[in-house]
Amino acid sequence: MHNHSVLIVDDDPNIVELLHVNLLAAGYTVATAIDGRDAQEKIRENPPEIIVLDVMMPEMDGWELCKWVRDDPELTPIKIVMLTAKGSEKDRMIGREIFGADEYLTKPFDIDEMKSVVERLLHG
Amino acid sequence: MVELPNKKAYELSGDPVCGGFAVGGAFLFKPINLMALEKVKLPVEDTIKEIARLDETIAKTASQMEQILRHVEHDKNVSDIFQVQLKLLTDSSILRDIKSVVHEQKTNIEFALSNQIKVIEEKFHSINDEVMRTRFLDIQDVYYRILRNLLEIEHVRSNPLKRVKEPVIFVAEKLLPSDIALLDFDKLLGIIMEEGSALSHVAIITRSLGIPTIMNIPGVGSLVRTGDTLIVDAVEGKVIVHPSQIDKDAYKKARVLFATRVSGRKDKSKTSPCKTIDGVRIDLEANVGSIKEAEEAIQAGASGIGLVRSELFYMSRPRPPTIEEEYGFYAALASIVKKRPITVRLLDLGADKYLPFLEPIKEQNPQLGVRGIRYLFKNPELFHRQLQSIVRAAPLGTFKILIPFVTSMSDVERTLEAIDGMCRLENVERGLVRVGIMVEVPSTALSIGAFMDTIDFINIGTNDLVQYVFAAGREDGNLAHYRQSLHPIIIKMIADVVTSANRQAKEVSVCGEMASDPLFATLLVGLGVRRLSMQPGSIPPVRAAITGASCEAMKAVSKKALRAQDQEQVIAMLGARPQK
Repeated sequence: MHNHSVLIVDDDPNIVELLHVNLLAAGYTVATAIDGRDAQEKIRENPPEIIVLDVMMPEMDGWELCKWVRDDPELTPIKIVMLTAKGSEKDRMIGREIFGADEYLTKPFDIDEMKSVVERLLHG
Repeated sequence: MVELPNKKAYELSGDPVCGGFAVGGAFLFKPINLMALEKVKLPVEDTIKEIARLDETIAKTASQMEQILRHVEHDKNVSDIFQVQLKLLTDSSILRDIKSVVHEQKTNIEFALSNQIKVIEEKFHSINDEVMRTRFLDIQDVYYRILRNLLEIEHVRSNPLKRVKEPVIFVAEKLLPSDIALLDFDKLLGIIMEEGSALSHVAIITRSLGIPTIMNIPGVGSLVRTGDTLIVDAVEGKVIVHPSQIDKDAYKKARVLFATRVSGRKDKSKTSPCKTIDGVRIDLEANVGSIKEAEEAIQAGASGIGLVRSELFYMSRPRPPTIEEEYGFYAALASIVKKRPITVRLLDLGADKYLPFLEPIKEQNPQLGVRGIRYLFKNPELFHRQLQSIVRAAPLGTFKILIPFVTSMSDVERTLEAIDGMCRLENVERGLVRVGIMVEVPSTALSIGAFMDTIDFINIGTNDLVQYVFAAGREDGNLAHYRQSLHPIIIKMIADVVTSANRQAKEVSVCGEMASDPLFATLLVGLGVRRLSMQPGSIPPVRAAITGASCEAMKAVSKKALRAQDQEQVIAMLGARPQK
């Protein structure tokens, strides 16, 4: 059976590890990246179905990567879950209304909630 | 992503605003779309704190704009644009309106600000005028920057080329001045856009930087993708997408040829008269719309102002100029150009040009309606005030009055009567003002002999002449292939007017786009034209082309062009562009 693919992009290794282990256990194919530029290369090589994306990252942040994905018509099918410690209304507005993220989760997040968000985005 | 091996080549066309050639990969720029903010209304309890957030952001925005100003300080044309934007940043009336919405509706700044931009846009859009449009785009540029700073996402927008390794051709639907001000210019081969006009601030910036640019290309933002190979021919206004190797090689040669011509700009002898190799003098004059352009024209070696687009002086103002103000404009021009001739074209309004303070005339077909002198006859106060301003300035220099859109002898007689009257009123010797006509309508070109005894000079406007001969509107990109400015019929029409004028020793000049292209200019010289008027920036390359050839050789080519069957043959004779 084909495993759905997820790319986790976060500069915090603890978060990456937590998501990696749990999504792998849930049956996903998981790739990881430590910042936006690293993620760009991985997306070019092998576009995932879902990107779980942290906002605050050095070098190239989550907003910039999100826009880069949304500006490329060939990457349109990719779903994006934004992940941030901020969680203000303003950030939700930026993610959803301006950069076209599909979902938005606030740190600290519940791993089961994350899994259900990923599941919902993949299966409608 | 895999590139298809043999993508089919196709062409797009638009308006060239800065000449040159570029061959390279496309980079499709997409701006951050802030429109959604108009609809997201977030409740705010502490409105004083919210307004303080705006004030802090304005301070931050001001410091970014000062950084842009430092980046462009070497170029006055460009830095002037951002000086104006910096002033807009603290426009008290706009800020007052935004703050009162926050107070009254207890809402977030982003909602109040984006809706205020919408209100301003609606106000500006009701005035169908390019200068006003440019003003609005400056406001939008400044306030979008404030919005991005409020949201802390300005870094996502600034310099999109920072991660690009090879130089690219920048492709966009539309651009605001600050979209390109901080770009890494070394990585910019050319710019092509779906919107925009030669009068826009983006056009001023690209001309200042010398970046080949084409605007007004329908659909380019959705047709071209990042990575597509493009050829930009910003002389013809043509883009080839997925060109063949033959096209690429031909354009690389054209680019070298163009660079050689443009290098004529460094010619130290630009103040000496422009003469062909066999000693025939050709006057290269400039088309200007402002004092600044007149200064540029003199610096570029213009032998006079061949066309003052007086409507641009009017359009740059919120209200009609007084006679004293307009006289001041002409006096300033005279002091810049000294004794060189200044040809003032009377207000050429109507069709697509209106003044912000005058109600446009509603017409079914404006290009065939009340334009040029017809418009002035309908607005006698405007007409007489302008004549009075010019006549009053006449003793200060060598002034010539040019009547636009002449289609009948009675138009000329009526204007001459008005000028005679104005000279008496102002006590100015009538002989100080020479009067000529624009030849831009086929009927006038074909009956030119009838006008000769009445007028002092002729100015051929090729852009309109081509539009009317081929019945293809000059603003319509879809009809570009019909407007064949090098068709033998156009060349013959110009030749007949020039021969007729030369026979009667009347001055004749050409002021359309044809005069600005070095190769086309040599064709005109070959036809007997001894006076050309063009954008100041075109003078050095045109001078280089004319001084590099003999008049006899140019005559021989023109003679052949007159016998050509179609435009393609003429182009082949001139070697103006590579053949497909």
